[in-house]
Amino acid sequence: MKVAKHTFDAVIVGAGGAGLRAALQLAEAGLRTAVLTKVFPTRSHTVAAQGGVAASLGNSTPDHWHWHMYDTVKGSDWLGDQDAIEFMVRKANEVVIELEHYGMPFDRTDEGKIYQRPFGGHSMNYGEAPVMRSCAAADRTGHAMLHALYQRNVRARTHFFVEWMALDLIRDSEGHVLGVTALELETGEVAIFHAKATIFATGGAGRIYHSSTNAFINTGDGLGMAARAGIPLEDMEFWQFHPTGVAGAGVLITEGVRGEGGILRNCNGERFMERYAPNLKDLASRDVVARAMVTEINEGRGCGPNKDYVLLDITHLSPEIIMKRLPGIREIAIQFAGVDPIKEPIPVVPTCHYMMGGIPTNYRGQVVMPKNGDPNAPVPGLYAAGECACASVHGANRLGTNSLLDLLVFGKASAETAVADIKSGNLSLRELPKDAAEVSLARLARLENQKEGEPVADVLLELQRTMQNHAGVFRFKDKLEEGVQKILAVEERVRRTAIRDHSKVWNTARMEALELENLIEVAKATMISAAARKESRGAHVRDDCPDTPEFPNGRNDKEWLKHTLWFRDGNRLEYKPVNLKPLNPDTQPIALAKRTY
Amino acid sequence: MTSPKGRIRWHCRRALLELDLIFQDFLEVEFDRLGDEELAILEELLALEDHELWALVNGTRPIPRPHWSGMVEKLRGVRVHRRTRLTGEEGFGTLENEGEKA
Repeated sequence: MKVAKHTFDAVIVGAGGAGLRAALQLAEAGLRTAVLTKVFPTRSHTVAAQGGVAASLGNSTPDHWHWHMYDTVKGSDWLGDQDAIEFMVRKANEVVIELEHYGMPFDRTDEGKIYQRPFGGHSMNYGEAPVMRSCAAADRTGHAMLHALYQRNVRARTHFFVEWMALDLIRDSEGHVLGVTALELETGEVAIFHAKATIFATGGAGRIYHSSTNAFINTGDGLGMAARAGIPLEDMEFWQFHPTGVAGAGVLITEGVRGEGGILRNCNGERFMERYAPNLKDLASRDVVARAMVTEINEGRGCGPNKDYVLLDITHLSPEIIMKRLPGIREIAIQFAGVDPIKEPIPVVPTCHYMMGGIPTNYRGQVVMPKNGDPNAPVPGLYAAGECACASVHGANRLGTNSLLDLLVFGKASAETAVADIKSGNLSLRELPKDAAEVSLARLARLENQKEGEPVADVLLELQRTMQNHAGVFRFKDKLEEGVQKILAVEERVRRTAIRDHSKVWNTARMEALELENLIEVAKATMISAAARKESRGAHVRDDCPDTPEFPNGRNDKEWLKHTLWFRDGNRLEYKPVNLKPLNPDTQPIALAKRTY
Repeated sequence: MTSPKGRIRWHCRRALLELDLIFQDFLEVEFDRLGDEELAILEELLALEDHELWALVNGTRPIPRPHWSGMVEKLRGVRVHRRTRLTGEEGFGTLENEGEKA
């Protein structure tokens, strides 16, 4: 197959919030910038983000970046790197105000300032009281952000390659990254994007779970490419589950429903959260509520013929309140649960929502991996930002509204570093290896020639079920170990998938097969990292690591205050220290403590 | 002229899970039966922003163009909740496609 070549200063994979923010920085610096995206930019999953973006502007209540830093470190269960966290919270005001100048329609106070609202886990004065820190554009924050950034990129003449799927990273014998190979859906042609700098901004991979709030495009393409190119994945055992996804569909029912008085009930009609969180009840934090729900189900008090969900009841609220304060919830319940929540409760289960781990980076957005004794040696030419990256600012659990902040801050930072590296001559256009496209072409040829393989959808279903049943909200030693064997068996099946459609153009079956090859890397990394981490921390909660006086919340800082690195080669695990030192020597570190709310 | 069907199929990949689920069933049940005229209308709908399209499908926003009504009705007719049912064979969260058994 003939392979065309495009040459740019920088190539960015992904056009969600992180990719567009990075692209803008590069294009406005006058560099030739290409963005590859498998869907139209404004159809990226950032559109679904509702909550807002955190920044200690202090417009609605007093606030301070160090309070935000404290909340983020504590939320991360001390697994977040404090240099990256300090960097992010101190950059927050700047990136939010920039966005305002790009035309983002933030909600306003009466005086015309950006209005800020409270959000779970964010506090003033180190946990004393809730703070108003989230800047939002109604419930369309992600949508408005993406549009503002896209328009600005058009103005900056960013080159968009829409409906192109990146296939593999190109590295030379010295490990330098020289760009990517990519497939154009419209033609079926493969091309090389040769660049001085490559930035991954490919988003999450929540489709590894069967019950997921993530859109179908979230298949971890950047993680799959990184893993195949020998780059480890960091802290992949940490996934945030949202307590209330519609059972069987995954569609998110916002926390606001419980805020307005929604009650979770088991099969006996009992308001079971009274037993788990006597004070906050249904409004306890996400992980507490999710684990309580799973405990009810595991102990036989789930609802329905198979006793595998609980009910979210708002039938005691007046229809006017439901329609006025919870717009859209009734429609979701009718469409995806088949119930009218005014009359009947909604079946819900904890649902995969966000990936805390990802491609290891430092606070400057450079991808890093162990080399010659340095656990954080930059991979020359490669950067990552947003959900696909692990900076690590979310550690073992993420606070709401910190994800939009993450993609703005590190989208910008990764590009700033790339701009500096290009302009200083640190990065140049290195010679492509002769076999630069070989790996990708071989993958495509395998799919083309595979006879009598399994359908992609069957293998995907098995992958998702395995992850859901063996590495869900609540984890068990035996289940995890069995899960490792099962996911390795699924991997064998991924290698033998076959597609019936061999057409060259707009072949969606081929796309789905290629996406599955990325999902399996994420799934293996998750299962193997989770089975190995023998403690409970943040979102990784093991039944065999309970809350004891020696190990509060099951957390074991002596042995496990470290980041996991999973390497695809031999499914090898390595660990590296957590950075407990802030960036600035004058900044007070956030000392280890038990995470309680 | 209508675009290749594969292209339209790909454009059913959306930013919101709500729409992905609707289109997943729609592609299975309805898509192959659509004529050229209907495909052209579908493409017009697919060009909308996700929140806008979802509001049309869930009925919270009136249909602005009369000729879209039939296609929006088809999308509304996709009853995702009847397709998926929980089986609980290994704890919570296991789904099984049980067709129209609901």
